Amino acid sequence: MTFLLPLGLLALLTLPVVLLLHLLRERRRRVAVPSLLHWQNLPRKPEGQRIRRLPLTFLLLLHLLIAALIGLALGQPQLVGALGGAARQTAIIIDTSTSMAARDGASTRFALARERARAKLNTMGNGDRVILIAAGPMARVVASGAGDPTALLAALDQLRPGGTGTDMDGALTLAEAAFDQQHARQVLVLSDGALPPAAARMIAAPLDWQQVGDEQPNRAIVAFAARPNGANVQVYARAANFGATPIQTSLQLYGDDQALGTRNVAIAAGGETELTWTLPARYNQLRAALDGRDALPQDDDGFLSLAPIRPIKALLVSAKPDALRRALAAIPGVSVTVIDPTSYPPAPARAADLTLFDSYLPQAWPDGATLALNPPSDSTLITVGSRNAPQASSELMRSGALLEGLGLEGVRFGTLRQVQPPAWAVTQLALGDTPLILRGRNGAHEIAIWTFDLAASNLPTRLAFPLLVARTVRDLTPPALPASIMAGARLALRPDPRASAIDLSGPEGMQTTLVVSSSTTIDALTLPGFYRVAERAGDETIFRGQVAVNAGAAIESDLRPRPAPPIVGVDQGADATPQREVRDIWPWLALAALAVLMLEWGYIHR
Amino acid sequence: MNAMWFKGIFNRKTSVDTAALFDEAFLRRLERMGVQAQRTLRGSPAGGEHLSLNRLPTAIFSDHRPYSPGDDFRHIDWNAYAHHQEMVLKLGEVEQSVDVHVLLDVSRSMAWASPPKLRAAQRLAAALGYLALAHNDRLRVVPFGAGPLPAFGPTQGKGRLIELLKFIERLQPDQPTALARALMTYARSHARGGLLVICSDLLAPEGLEQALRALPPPRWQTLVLHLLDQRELRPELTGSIELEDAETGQRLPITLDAATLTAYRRNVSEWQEQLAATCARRGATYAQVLAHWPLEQQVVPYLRARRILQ
Repeated sequence: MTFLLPLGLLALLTLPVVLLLHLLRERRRRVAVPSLLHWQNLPRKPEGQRIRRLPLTFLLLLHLLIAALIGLALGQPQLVGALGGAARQTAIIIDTSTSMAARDGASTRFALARERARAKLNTMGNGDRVILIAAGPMARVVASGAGDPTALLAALDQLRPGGTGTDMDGALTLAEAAFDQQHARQVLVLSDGALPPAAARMIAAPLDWQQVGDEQPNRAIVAFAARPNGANVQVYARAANFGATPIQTSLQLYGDDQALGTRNVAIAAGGETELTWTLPARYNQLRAALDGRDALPQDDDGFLSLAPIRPIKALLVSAKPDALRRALAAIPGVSVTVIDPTSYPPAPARAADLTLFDSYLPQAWPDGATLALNPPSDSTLITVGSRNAPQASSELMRSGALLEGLGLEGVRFGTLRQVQPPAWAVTQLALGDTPLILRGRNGAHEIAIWTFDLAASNLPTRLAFPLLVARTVRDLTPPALPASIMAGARLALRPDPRASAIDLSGPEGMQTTLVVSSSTTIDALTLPGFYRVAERAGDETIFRGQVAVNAGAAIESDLRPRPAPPIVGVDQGADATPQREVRDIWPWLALAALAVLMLEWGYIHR
Repeated sequence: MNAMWFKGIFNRKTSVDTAALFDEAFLRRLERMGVQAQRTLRGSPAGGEHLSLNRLPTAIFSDHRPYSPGDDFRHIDWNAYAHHQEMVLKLGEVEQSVDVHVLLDVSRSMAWASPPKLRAAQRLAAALGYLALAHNDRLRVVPFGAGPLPAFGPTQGKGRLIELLKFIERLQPDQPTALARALMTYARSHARGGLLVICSDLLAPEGLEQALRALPPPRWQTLVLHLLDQRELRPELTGSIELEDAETGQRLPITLDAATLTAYRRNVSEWQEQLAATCARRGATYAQVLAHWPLEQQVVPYLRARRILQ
């Protein structure tokens, strides 16, 4: 307890004054008698001769208590203590990258780390708070709680190692953000240290870095790729030896689960070897498997998807389709159907992936993507003004990556109409203040608008035209899935606008359904293998694809111990001003004094 | 208005204080008592059980006297006239009723102690009043403080007993003491005299002398029953205390030790002697009555010894 106004304690000097007053004015017990007739004339001793004794009466005690309470209150005492009492906060950061799956004796590095985390959770006291953070390719808070560790232990048991990279910086930032500044805090990191080089960093809490795992020799496929070569496909693989001794091993290649061949591989200690194959382009999947028998089996396989590029069905509604048809035909995976505008059905039974309207627009945007060229003035979908002759001095204004690098100088766009850009569209190309190319999304419709007439323009004769068409088609339609990604990497999907759900299935029976939005991101692909992606519109599957996930990467496959990164935890007691809770108690003392005063009044007038 | 009234608000009445004043056993004992009145008392020859020394024409013959015009012809001794040719009247002892005046002190000093002195005075007044009614005496019970208060009576006959007891029971101590003024005022308004019983603690500054002067014998036979609590005679107090007068509220700080208490007891004893001498001088009878005495056991024998009761 401290006193904000110590001088106020001088009021306690009234205590001896109270004693003195009671001694001087010794209160006598009052006794009623029928009459003072026979008492008044009694001989009495002078007051000076009477020996005074301090009467220990209840009233004296009350007066002393009142004086003491008021004296203390005037000193403005405060109770100072650690905020929130002795409750502690601990952030447990557990590395969930692929390297943590490496065997370590009879267990794995991750199992050892989980045991340490479990032991830490079991030391939680009432009021202690723990934040459990998984440091994988993307750091995330797994669970947080105080007091009972049951929920935290359950969340810990659900964690699995997998994913390339450890976002330790993000994990530490999450820990700092989750801390309550009023309580003691510390950070416990359980990792094998397989981190990329990081800059020195300071965190506002004591850091306990516990290295997990011993040195283990390991070999891995660290690169696996393919590219088409005419009717064939050229395959490339790179295997690495992260051990101290050279190894002799074999690598098997599978195409669609069919063994395609085995090669003996010799890799020097700490070295790599590269292998190539030329295969016919008829396989959808390739797998390279090292005969590892090492500490980390997950990186002994390489997976690659050779699935065809996502097909695009294009419907060209034009009376003069030649230029566009040629440009569309040059785009791999695009199949074109041409109809005359007069034949376009008001409500198409099945929409194409991409519909191109040349000098025509229906009453409503069709499902899927749309490229509208030279929209008519009577369209209800776009507001088209009168024809305006282009100004010779007008500059070509462009924005967006779509038009980057395209040579549009010297292109004449003919007589232009003033098209009112819809609210959902942005202008990507303009001549002066006349928009030429608009791009936007209207609900589930991906739409691009070219306001000029191709037939009146010389653009189809320029090299930029097919490039522009190809880029526009790729921009409007869902992109193809990548052939492979690293475990734990984010997979961004731009599904078909008609899709209502995405089914995802993967290794070890993993199945999940995702709700579709304009851009869906998946970051749970942590196990190596093939993942199937199916886009559904209701019950109809409109697209099936696959993506391969690989675990092999130098940062994860090298199981040799590394020094902890230069992260410094700041001890609260050493540097920062401790956060303390201050509570004024003088109001309570004053209230108590008032209560005692009322008691004294009642006692006197009883 | 005296502000002392509120001091009794929170006084808790003990069970002794609230016990019934008059029970059946007490009333039965009263039947066996009588009040001996001195022959010098005047009374009405029409009733009463007290023999008067007045030789009045009566049916109980004890002597003759010559007939005087105006005498009652019923008391002429015709036998004596037949023999002596002289008209004479028969004389004898006549049973006469007495005017009994019970003056009850209801000053605040009477409420002191537990049980209060007033309670003993009420029981004693009830006893004397009952005896008076039982013997067909004419009874008045007069509470007094600063002066006479509304009285009970005059009344005769045992049929008024219940009213008497209710009246006495209702009396409350709420008055300062002015003994002399009360007695003198009463004596002036009752010139006939009678048997006057004063039930009081006599704690009046002016003393008793002046009061008794207004009650001369033989017209008045005065009995002074001096009601005291034993703690007034022997206080159980020591140390430094503040005494508070129960009537006036006056306070007196005092330190009591053995010497002071001895001096006090001497004061009280001298005061009682002074009262007894005053009473004797004025033809009154003085008797000390302690409040804690049960009336049946202690007060009655004492009163009998004093020839107040038969």
